[in-house]
Amino acid sequence: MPLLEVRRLVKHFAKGGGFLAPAPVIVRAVDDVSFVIEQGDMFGLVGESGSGKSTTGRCILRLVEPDSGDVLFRDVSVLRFSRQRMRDARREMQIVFQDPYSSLNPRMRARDIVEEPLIVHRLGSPTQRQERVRELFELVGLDPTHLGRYPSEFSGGQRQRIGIARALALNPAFIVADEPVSALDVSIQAQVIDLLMELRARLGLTYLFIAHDLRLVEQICNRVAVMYLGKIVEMGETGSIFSNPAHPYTRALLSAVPRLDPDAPRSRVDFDASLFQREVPMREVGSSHWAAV
Amino acid sequence: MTLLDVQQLTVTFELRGGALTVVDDLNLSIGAGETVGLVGESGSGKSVTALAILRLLQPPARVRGGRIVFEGRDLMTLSEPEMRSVRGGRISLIFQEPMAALNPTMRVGDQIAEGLTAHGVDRGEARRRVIELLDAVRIADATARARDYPHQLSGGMRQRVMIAIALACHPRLVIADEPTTALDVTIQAQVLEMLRELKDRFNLALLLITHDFGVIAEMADRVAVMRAGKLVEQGPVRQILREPSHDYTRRLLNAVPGMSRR
Repeated sequence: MPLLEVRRLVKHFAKGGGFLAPAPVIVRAVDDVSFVIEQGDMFGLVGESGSGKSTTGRCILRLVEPDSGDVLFRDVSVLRFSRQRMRDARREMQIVFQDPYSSLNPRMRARDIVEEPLIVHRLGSPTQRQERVRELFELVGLDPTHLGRYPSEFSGGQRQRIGIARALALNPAFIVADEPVSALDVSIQAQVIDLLMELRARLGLTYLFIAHDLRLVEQICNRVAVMYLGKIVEMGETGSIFSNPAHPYTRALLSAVPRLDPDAPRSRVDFDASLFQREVPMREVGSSHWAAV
Repeated sequence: MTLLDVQQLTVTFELRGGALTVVDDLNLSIGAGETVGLVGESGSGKSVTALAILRLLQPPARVRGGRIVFEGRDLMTLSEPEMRSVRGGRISLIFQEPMAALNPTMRVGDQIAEGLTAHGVDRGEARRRVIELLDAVRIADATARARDYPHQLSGGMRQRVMIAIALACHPRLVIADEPTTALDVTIQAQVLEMLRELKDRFNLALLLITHDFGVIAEMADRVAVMRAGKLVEQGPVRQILREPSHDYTRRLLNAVPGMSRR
């Protein structure tokens, strides 16, 4: 049984429109997206801006309600849950946001930010909760003597650790990490990534890792799906995708990543967006490797 | 031949609690037609250095010492009108966020022309040059695009417009401050390729400020690594990437994902 299964997920947005305005344009942000995440996976969802990767992540947690399709968590459809059931389900499914500056309430102390999920879910006595917050602070490598500080008193990397501590408060099994390090300096990035990997091993976490940095995804994810204009165009084992990209968009994307070797031959491939065919079905192009070609 | 020679540049922020040194005794030179990458993390002082070269620093920032010799003249000693003809004329600047740097209420063609007329080109000639420049930065259908406002263009196109503005008056040196950081990777690749071509075509020197060693590897001849206001290391790009001598450079390189494998 996979931990999470996304089946034919669709989310369209209407852009523009309104009184006397031209008819709205339909943006197919997520357009018939399906994938499976196994227990323990570090599943990378990559794409450029507007590819629909973040909307997909949000639909899974129902922070955005999908138009159609299904999301199964441990074989149970979360889309049919009532608000109450969904709240319970979120104990197991959490999210870490991209921007540690806007995702933490600047007027709450770090301790209250991390404690809030425990209060919302009515867990433990105040003393037990304080104990748990302290434990979480240590777990993510923060100094418990800083519990009383406000977000502005922490650096970007430390704030992201607070965001991670908050996500871990309810002991989730699955975490959507939406560009968790892209706002951070590269040396800080490495530290936060190390933390996420360490937590995965220690707590048996499964991640949906949403990112645009292909070098990072190649390094940490075991499976990858590549999104383009709301569609998954290619999916499979990380090694296979990076060494044998099958979809022309994946090839263009990989060829655009700057190499760290000044003498590496430049073999940039362009992808002609006008040739993109949305309706091509995925087929197996290698072992555990599918592409819409 | 040395085009720009920054000597012992020191910049401080004058704060109530005292002066904070943000650029500390920095020496950096750029030859004609050369691309120098200035790398560092946030707060290392790389953007302040760029602004100091153009004398665009605002209080509380203050240049406390040093010389900025460009084409044989110390920019620090120039009068403000003289400096204005250097800015945009001999040295121009490309910013990270084209949407913040462009005027949202002005057609992009007019924004490119503005730089030209400010440097004494007449209007008719400026109009002609605008189309030429938009062609040079490979914006298709230049005449129509010149009439667009910034919000009508994609991020990559806006950055091309910024580059067209920077090139308008045939500068010798372009300072590009994180020019592709806000762009998607495929667009970044196109913009970098274009910058390389334009640099050769117009024989420009480029001071490329970035935090991305991948961009450095693709673009730079030489690299200078900054940390906390100090230059920790500089040298030819291959030497810095392959055999960094400073521990901080090594750590920075090791933090780049995929460095070990590619």
